Parts: sequence; C-alpha cells; structure tokens
Amino acid sequence: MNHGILIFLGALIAVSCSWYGMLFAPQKQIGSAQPEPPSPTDPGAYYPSSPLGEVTLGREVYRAQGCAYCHTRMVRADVDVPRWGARRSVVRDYLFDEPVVLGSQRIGPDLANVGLRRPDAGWHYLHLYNPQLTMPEGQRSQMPPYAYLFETRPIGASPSPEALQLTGEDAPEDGYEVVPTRAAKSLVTFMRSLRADNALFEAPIPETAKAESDETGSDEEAAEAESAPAEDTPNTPEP
Amino acid sequence: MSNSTEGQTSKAPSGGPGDPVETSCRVPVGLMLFCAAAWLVLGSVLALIASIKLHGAGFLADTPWLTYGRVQAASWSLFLYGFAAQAALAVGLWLICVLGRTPLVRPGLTTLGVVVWNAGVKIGLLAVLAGQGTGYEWLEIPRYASVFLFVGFVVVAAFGLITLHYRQEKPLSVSHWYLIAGLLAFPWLHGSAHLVLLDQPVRGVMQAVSHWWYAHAFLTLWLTPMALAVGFHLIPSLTGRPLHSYYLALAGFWMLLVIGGFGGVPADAPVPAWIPALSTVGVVLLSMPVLATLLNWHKTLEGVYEKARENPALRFVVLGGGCYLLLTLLMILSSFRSVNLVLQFTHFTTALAWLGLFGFVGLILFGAIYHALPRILDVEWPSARMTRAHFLGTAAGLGLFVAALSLGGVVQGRGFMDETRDFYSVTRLTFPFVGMSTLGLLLFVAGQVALLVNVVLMLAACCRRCCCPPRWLGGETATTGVAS
Repeated sequence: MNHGILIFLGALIAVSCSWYGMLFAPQKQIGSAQPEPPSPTDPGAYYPSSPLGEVTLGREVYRAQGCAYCHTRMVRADVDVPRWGARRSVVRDYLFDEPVVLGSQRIGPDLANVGLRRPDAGWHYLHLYNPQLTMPEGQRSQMPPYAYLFETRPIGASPSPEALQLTGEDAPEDGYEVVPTRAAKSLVTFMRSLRADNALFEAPIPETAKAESDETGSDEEAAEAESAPAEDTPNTPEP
Repeated sequence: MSNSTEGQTSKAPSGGPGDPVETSCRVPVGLMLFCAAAWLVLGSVLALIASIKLHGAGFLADTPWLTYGRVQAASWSLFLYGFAAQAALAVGLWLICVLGRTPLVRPGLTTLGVVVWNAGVKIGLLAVLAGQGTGYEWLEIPRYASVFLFVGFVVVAAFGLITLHYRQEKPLSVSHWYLIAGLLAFPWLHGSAHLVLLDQPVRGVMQAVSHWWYAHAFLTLWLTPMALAVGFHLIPSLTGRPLHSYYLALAGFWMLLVIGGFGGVPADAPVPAWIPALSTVGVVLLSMPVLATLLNWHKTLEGVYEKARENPALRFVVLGGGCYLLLTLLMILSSFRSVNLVLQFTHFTTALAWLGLFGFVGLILFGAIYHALPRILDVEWPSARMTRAHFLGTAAGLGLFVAALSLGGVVQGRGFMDETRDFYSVTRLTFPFVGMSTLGLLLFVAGQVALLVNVVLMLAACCRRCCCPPRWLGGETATTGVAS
C-alpha cells in the first residue's frame, strides 16, 4: 500500500459504508413518516399536529438552556413504561420536533410525558423558579433554579394572576411580585404540550399500563406520585 | 513492499535537535498545541463547575451564561474541538513531516487555517454560553461558527496532504494510512452532520439518528485513526523495535474503517429496531480491529515495557492503549440490549465518553506532544516535575472520575429498573459517586494546568532564543541568542 490516492479512495468508500447504513437507509425508511390521521374511534386532530407558535418558542428555550443535558425525552419499551409513560416513544412522536434532542442522561426525570404528569402551569413556574420549593420534605433536587427566567416587579393596580405564590423567605418584598418572563411562559407551554398517550399502530398502549391508569383514575400522578406533593400545596411541609 | 521497508520507515533516522524537517512545522503546530492545551484547561474548569453544580444546585445559578446545560455543553465542545480535534490535527501534521522527511509546505497559510479553526472554537464557545448552541451534544457549535471549523480544518489538512504528496521518503507506513483516513474522515463526518442537522435539517427523529452516528464516528473514524497513527509511529521508534506484523496492521486498518462508523444508537431508541441492532453489531465487530491493533502493539512492546517508565511519551501511549482495551470491552458490554437498557441514561454514559476521549485518544495525544514538541521547538521540556504532575493528575483524576461515574451509573441504572423506587431516592444514591467524580476532576484540572504551564514555558524559551528580544529593542540579535 504505497499509493496514497488508493488509500484515500479506499478510505472514502469504507467510510461511506456507515454513512449509507446509518444515515441513508434509515432516512429512506423513516424520513417520510406521516402523522396519524383522525380515526373513527379517536376523532380530532392529526397526531402529531404541527405545533403552535408558543410551543416552538418554548422548544427554543428548552434547547438554549441545555435542558437535554439532564433530561431525556424518550420512553423505551417495557422498562420505561411503568415509570415514564403510557407507551413507548416511536418515530412519529417527533415528526414536527426541531431540533430533536432526546438527551443522554437522566439526572432529572424523563420529560416525554411531562405534560401528562404535570398539567398545571403554576407548578411548573414554581418548579422553575426554585426546584426545591416543589420537592417533598427531606428531598433535594439537583436541578438549578432558573430565577433569571422570572421578573420581580412592583405590583401594579392589581396583582398579576400569574404571580408566583411564594411564602416565607422566598417571598419578594412587600409591594413586589414575581412573574414569569416570556421565555418562562413559552417553556412551560412547551413542556405542557409534551404528552404521548394515544395508541398508535406501531405503539399500542400496553394492557398493564391501561389497567393501572384506570385504577388510579388519573394519569397525572402516575409516575412521580410517590415523590412529589400535590400540586396545590407546593411548599407546605408535611405535618 | 515488505515488512522490512515498513519497519525502516517508522524507524527512519530522525534528525538531531533542530532538524529542519521537524522545525518546519514549528509555527502552526506550536500554535495549535498551545491553543489545545489552553482550551483543555478552560474546558476542564467548565467541567468542574458543572460537576460542582450537581452538588449545590444554587452554585452560580443566577447567570444564564453559567447554567448547567450551557456550561456542560461548552465544556464538551471545548474538549472535542478545542483540544482533541486540534491536538490530533497538530500531531498529524508533525507526523506527516517526520515520516516523509519533508518540510511542511506553506507553513504561513497553514497557520492561517489554524487561526480560522480557533476563531471557530472561540465563537462557538461564546455562542454556546449565550444559549445559541444547537442542542446536539457533539455538535453544539452553531452553524455560523461551525463553518469556521470546517474551513480551518480543510486548509490545514490540505497542506498536510500536499506535504504528504511531496514526501522524500516514498514508502507509506502504517501511520500514513491512518493519517490519510483520519484527515479524510473529519471533513466527511463534519460536513455530513452539518448538512443534515444544521443546513437542511432532516425530519423528526432522523436528526437524533444522524447525531448518534456523528458522535460515534467522531471517535471511531476521526480521533481513533489519528491516535493509532501516533501509536504505530511512536511505539516502534521509541522502543527501537520493528512493528510486529505489517499484515495484522493492514487488516486492522480496513476493518476499522468499514466497521467503525456503525454504532451509537441506544437500545430501544424510538426508531425501527434494526437500527439499534445494526449499531450493536457494529460495536461488537469493532473488537476485531481493536484487538488486531492492540495485539500488534503488545507484541512490539513485549519485553520492553519497562522503557515506559523512563520515557513519559511512551508511558502516556502505553496507558492510552490500555484504556483503548478497557473502552472497547465496556462499549461491547454496554451495547447488549439488556445491559444497555440499565446503563444507557446514567452517569455510566459520561464515564464511557471520558474514557474514550481522554483515556484513549487524549493520553496517546499527550504522549505525542511530549515526544514531538521538544523536537519541533528545539527546546527541552522545562520542568520534569511538571511533566510528572501532568501524568499523575491526568491518570489519577481520570481514573477516579471514570471509576466513580461507572459504578455510580450501575447503581443508578439498577435503581431506575426497580419500578417501586421513586426517582429522587435513586438519584440520591448517586451523590457519593458524583462527589468522587468531582474530586477526580479537580486532580484532572491540576494536571492540565501543569501541561499548559509546561507548554507556555517551552514556547517562551523558544521565542527567547529565536525571535526575542528584537533588534530594535537593542537586545541581543537572533543569531547570538542561538549561540548562547
């Protein structure tokens, strides 16, 4: 092998093998996946439907804050279903996502179904402002506070309905309130949009998960129920 | 073409100090290695900050620029593009000059390429900290800065390949093959990923697939060939023994290139099952080229391992080879579906990435730096204690970091598997391991600072001798400086 050009061409072909196998072939198969049309049993919109503007803005905040460095957004078949979702994540769940950052670490909970578990925007604001506020007594969250996504401002003519309900040492001075900025609002809208609980042909809802969710009556509390307090009493210590 | 020609090439008599072939690449390679060491220190400090944030969530939390997600992204980008890719390119350039006994063609324009590359890294760093990262862990640097990286690389690599073309020593050695492959692979990988992720993004989950492929191939098809080029040159030339088997090297080379790019897709990812399956097959088959290479190195080194004790360069290379073996074993083990499901989203992933980037590639590049820089600059390493501190800091720090996070990852993964345990109680189990890893990072940072100090002192000594003090300051002239 004394001809550089032959090595060069050989290397080009060899390296292209993986390009073909790992990029081209998958693209051919799943690159043109289409949303699920409304069905007689489930009338309504296409799944997934093109996201609203607010959701895409929130997705940008999610990317810019590097949320994916601690949170995944994928439910794996079987092992993840009891903890993180109704069914496994599949190709079609991400059709309109951009960028698709699935994450590689679960330093924090998986967020593929966070909209299902935590539908309440108030909880999210409080959690973003200071994650320790929403933790049960004696538990500590590794999540950093995102207080910079909130604004402390003097209360105007009437208090803002979005102002955080802060008590004790977290509360702002008298006459001031803490309100979410545009970025925080978009981020929370995005997170509340994250839910994949509809059965698809390639991802039916497993029977066990269905039975469990019927028993508890609501999906919301399914995954984090043990660790998290009820939404409406975020920072009240348990007696 | 026989064993003997190949052996001779790798043992080609290197000129003594001040060999014009080696000093010809002084400016671009010196600049790249200095920048690589500096980015490495900055990157590891950022990694330390991120690690501390895992203990005290409030640490530096008021600044958006320093939030965990951005610091972590910035630190990894600096490791990849500031340090590893840059040092690999620098070492590759030097190897091309030495192996072909040819001075570097157009060092001035090559230096321009280096400046463009580092401008890309700097803009990328600021962009990631400002929240403009792309979100893809191995390709965080946004499009406008990524273009600088591509152009800078192509300029430097092009002059490297032109130098290769004009080589005096015609036979191509094993190191040459790997250099050619590596210098081809980076623009190919980076260009493809840039195209399908940043320019014309593919739809939906294909973005994740492309990113997984890029992240895997970045290590196996770009950094690995460069590290192996170093090993195949330094091991025979530092031990004075010919390479054990030319044909084993040949087989290892082609197997690596064909198999290397298949991998990176985690088990049960939201894609058709054949993609992660193909990825697992690729990773398992990757053991063949790795074993071929390591067997070759081992047979060459057999009986003369103790030389690694006196020679810091060989010490780094041998340890790097050991890490390569460990990395491959762990990669194969964790690519099986049942194991992957447990370990995939835990600290184990981080441990494996560090083992690959610093344990294997980084250590071997450090070895090359210790061997090459004195010859390029024609100055001895100023401080043997700093060299020792760097070795100890890197080895101990990295060992502690990787061991702590792998064990922590196993504990974490097993906890997650148990549906009855709540998430935060599992996370709490990892705190002691994360603490150990922070300690490891502290040692690692200290080691890298020692490297930077050593490199800066060395460059200063070189400058004093060749360029300073300039005549117009009334100092000694350049010639008398060299004479003294």
